[in-house]
Amino acid sequence: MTPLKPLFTLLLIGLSIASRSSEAAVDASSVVRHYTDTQGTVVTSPTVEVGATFNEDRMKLTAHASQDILSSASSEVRTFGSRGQDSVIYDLRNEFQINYEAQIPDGTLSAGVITSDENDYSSRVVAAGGTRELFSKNTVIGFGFANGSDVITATGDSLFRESMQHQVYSISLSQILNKNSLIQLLYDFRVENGYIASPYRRAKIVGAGGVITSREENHPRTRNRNAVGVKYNFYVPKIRTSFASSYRLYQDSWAIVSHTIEERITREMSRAFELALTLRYYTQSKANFYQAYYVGDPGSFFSGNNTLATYESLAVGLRPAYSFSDRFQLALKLEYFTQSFQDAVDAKRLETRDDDVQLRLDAYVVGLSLVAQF
Amino acid sequence: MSCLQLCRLQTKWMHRNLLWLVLLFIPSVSWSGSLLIETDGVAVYTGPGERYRILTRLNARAQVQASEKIVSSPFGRFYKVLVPISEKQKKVGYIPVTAPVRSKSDAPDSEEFEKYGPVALTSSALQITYAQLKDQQQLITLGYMDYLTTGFFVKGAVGQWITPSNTNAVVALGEIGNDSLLAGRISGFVTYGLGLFIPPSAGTIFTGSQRTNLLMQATMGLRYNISGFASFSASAIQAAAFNANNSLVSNGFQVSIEVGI
Repeated sequence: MTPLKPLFTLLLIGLSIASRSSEAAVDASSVVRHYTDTQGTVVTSPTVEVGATFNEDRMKLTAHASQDILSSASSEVRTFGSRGQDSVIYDLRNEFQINYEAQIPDGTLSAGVITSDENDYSSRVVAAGGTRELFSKNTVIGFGFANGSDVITATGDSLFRESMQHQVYSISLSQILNKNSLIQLLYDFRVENGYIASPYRRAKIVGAGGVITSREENHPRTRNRNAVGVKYNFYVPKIRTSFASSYRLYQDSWAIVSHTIEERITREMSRAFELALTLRYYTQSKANFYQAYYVGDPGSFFSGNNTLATYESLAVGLRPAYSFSDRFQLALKLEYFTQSFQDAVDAKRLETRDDDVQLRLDAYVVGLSLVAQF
Repeated sequence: MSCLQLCRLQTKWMHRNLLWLVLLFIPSVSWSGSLLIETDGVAVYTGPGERYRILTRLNARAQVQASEKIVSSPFGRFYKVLVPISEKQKKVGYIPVTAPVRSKSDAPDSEEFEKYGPVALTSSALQITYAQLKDQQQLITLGYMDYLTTGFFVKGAVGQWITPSNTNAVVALGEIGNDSLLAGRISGFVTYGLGLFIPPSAGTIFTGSQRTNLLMQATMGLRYNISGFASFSASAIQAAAFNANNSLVSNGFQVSIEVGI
C-alpha cells in the first residue's frame, strides 16, 4: 500500500476544513533522506506529514507517512547469505501515523496510532500523552506512554511466527531559567516482552577442533530499558546563535550502558537563512551475553547482533535552512557518521577467522525537507 | 466499628454534603461589576470554598468579570467570577471576598455567566479503581489523591493484582496526573505511576518474577465530575511489572470512583 494515498486524502480534508474557517491552518512537510554506508547498506526514506487545526485552533490532527526502501550487503548478510559475499537483501517498510492533539487550559492532551509494516515484521502502537504548564508557564511537565504489539515472521519459513509486546513510559520536566535559557530533564522507560531477536541473525560458534558454525540467535524474552537525559538550551542574542546541549544515560536489563553527548549550534545568518551544526558522540558497553564468537557451549543466550557489542560512534551534521517566506522553508541535511566496534568483526567467510577484520562503519546521510503552511 | 455506627456516620456525611449542595449556590448579597486583582497568585477555586480544587491563579492587575451575586457557603463568602483560561476559553470560579481584590462597578453581562456552568471539584479525594486487564487479570486499588496545583495531582495507592487462578500480588503505587476540564463537567486526564509489585512468592504471577518487582502504569481517560464531592472516570490502562529477568506486560480498561474528602 502506498502511504501517500491516505495522506492526500487527509490533506484534502485539512484544506477543506481550513477553507471553511479563516482561523484554521494546514501545514505540510516532506522530507527525503538518503543513507549509505561502507557496509553496503543503502536506505532511502521519503516522508510526508500533513497537519490541520480545527475547533478554533484548539485541536490538531496530524497524519504522517514514511517509507524505508532498503538494500543491504552488510557483514552479516555477506557471511550468512545464500550467495556468500555477493548476497544482498532488499526490504520495504511502510509507516503510517495519525496523531490528535487538543489544547487544554495550561497544557495539551494527545493520542495517536502508529502502524509499521515490512514483509516479515508488523507493528501496531497506540500512544498518548500530555503536558501541563505550571507557575505562569515557566515549568512544563510532560507525560507520554505507548503500548505496542509486534508480529515477527520469517521469509522462507512459513511456520515461523512470533510476537512481542512493548510499552513506553516517558516523563519530562522543562524549566525556563530566564528569557534566553531552558533546561529539561527526561526519563524514558521501555519494556519489551516476547521475541526480541531476528530469525535471520546467527551467532558464530567455535566448536571442537576450532570448527566454526552458526546458530540462530537466542535472546532473553524481556528487555527493560531505562534512559535519563538532560538538555540545556540557551540563546545568545548578540551573535544570534542558539546552543542546544544534551546528555543521555541509558541502561538496560541486558547490561548495556551507553552515554550520548550532543551539541547543536544554530546561527541565524540572516532573516531568511540559518545554519545548524550538530556534533554527537555515543559510546556503549556490550550486552552481558554478547560475544563475537562463542567458544564451546554458548550458554542460554547468544547473539549475532553487532549493535549489542561494545562500540562508539561520532556524528557530524550540517543543516542549512532557507525560508522563502513565513510559509515556506527549505532545508538540507548533511551528516557524516562513523561507528567503531571493539568486539564485533566482519567475519567475511564463516569457516575461517583468518580473513576477519574489526567491524567499522562509515555512513553518509543526505536529507532534503520542505515545510509549508497554508 | 459496628454497622449502626457506620450507618450513623454515613448519614451524617450525607447530611453534611446535602447541606453543602443546598448552600452551595445560594446568593446572599447582591453586588455587580468586575474585580481587579491587587497581588500576585490570588487563587480562584472551582467551588465556593478553599477545599475545592484551584482553577487558576491570577496575578496583580488582572481583571475578571464578577457576577452580581456573592455566594455564601459553609466555607465563607465568595465572588463568583468568570476567568479566561485560554485565549478562547472561560470558566466559572470563586474568589474569597477576603482576597486582595478591588471591586469595580462596571455592569456585568449576566447572560455571559449563564453560558458557563460551575464545576466544583474537591482538592483531595479517596479513589477506588478497578481495571480489567488482558488474560482475565484484574487490578483493584484504593488510593488518596491530592491536587497540588491547577490540574496536577499526586496519588498514593495500594491494591491487588488478581489472576484467574486467584494468585494475587500486592501492589503499592505512587502516581502523578494531569487533569483538565474539557467541556462542562467532563475532564480529560493522563496519569503516570511507579510502584512495587509483590507476588506471594518468586516465580508466581509471571515466569521469572521475584519477591519484589517494579510496576509501571499509565492511564488516559475521561472523568465526569459531580459537583462538590465525587467523580467517576473511565480510561485505558497499560501496566508492566518487571525485574531484570522478565516482565509482565498488560493493558486493558479501568474505571474509578473518587470521593472528595
